[in-house]
Amino acid sequence: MTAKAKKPIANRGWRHARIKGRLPVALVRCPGAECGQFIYPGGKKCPHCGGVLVTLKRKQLAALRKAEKAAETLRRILGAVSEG
Amino acid sequence: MRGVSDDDLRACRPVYAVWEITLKCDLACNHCGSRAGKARTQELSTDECLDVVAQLAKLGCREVTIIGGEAYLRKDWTEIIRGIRRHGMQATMTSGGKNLTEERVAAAAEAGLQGVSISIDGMEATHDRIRGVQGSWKNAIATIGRIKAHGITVGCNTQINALSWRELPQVMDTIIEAGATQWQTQLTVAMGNAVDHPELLLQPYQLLEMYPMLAELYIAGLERGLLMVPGNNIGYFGPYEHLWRGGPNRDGHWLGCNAGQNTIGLEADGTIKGCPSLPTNGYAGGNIRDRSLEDIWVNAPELNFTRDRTVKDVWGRCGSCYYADACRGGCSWTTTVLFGKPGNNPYCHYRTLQLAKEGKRERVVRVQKAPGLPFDQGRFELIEEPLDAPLPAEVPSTLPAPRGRAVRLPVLT
Repeated sequence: MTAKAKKPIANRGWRHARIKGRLPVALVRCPGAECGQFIYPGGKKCPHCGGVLVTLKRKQLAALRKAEKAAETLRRILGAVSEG
Repeated sequence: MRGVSDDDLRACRPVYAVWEITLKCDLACNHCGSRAGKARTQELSTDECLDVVAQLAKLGCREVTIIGGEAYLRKDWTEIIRGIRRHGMQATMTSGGKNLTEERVAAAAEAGLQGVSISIDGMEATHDRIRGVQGSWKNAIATIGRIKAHGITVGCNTQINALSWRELPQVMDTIIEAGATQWQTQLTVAMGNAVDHPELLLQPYQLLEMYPMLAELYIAGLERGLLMVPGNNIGYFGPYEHLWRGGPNRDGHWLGCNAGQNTIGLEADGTIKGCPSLPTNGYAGGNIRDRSLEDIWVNAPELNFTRDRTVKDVWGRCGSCYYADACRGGCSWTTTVLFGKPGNNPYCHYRTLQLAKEGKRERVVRVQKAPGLPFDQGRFELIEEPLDAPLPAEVPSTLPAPRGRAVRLPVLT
């Protein structure tokens, strides 16, 4: 591209009193390791896998902590190998 | 630039415009919704186009994609690009790339064109058959390199249909090799010329086989520097939604049809729609020769339909879907041209999976031809049947053989 745009003059703040847009529904993903489907927030069970969301979330966080710990151990071992 | 903020959503600001600047075309695509070929009789003049550019900027538009027909067949196309850039908006283009010569690419680069998407609808024989002109594939592939050499971002777009879908892996290899960094994929929709050739359409139950392949390609493409950007009729809410629309955190998803909310479509004669692909009949909000763009955008009921739509407007099997409120029936264009109104979309991955669990599938069958006008539609019937029911005998294809000979364009060295 060789031509450079001049300072934008587009009216970035345009709005009109007559129209109001809708903010779409924001879904979340089921924390179930085998599920991950999108679900409406605020429910107790996942309608797809049937799992209890609080329990699934707890398991997900525990798995994440375990993975982080394993990664840290791996980094330490690799560091020791490269130093040795 | 095309990203839509909460403030854009609340204000219904048309941040993205797709503008058919001429209906004149050098291809003869058998799926073409606008039945492009000859220019419209009353296409906007240069001055009128530049006025439209200013009006788009005033409404807060941030990116304008010029299309056709073939945008480069308008003599003043680079002047329009220059105008778009002068008003601080991004200028991009979608093209078949058949005659996007070195001279034309250089002129567009000089004018400030920032991105081009070249249509590649299969490997050579398939592409030429779909696009209706022999040699169009070779020219399009050569054009990708030509654009890249001028420092313009280049991507490709591909129609997924009964002819092309099995060739998608080879298409991906080819466009990566040619230099594309983005790949928009979209299902062929039953509009215009595609209504005349319903054998081109993928059947809804075929999504069960096609989407796993597309997901594999998405991941393989990322590893090779190619970002797949699924079009508005890809998905929705199946096991790959987090890939299609998830973004870096893999938590984004389809938010409902955006026509008339943050997207605006313009036809070459000044007709304004909420989405460029929607039928003219029933979705044209007015003409900028008669009213200002702001007046049409704010007041035309034909552009308001997604702003006012509620979950109650979703019907058929979509009406009882878990995702009805979030999805609102997927792409309005895809469904309107099948059944005459939006809100019931058989081309949904989640829906086809749910049906399969019940041992069922859906097929669409044309029951009424289209009249033969740009952006026209026929009528289709939806058939629900057992998943293992024998399929009807294949109707012989009526696709004409591609016309003409290959046009030789200089190859970059």
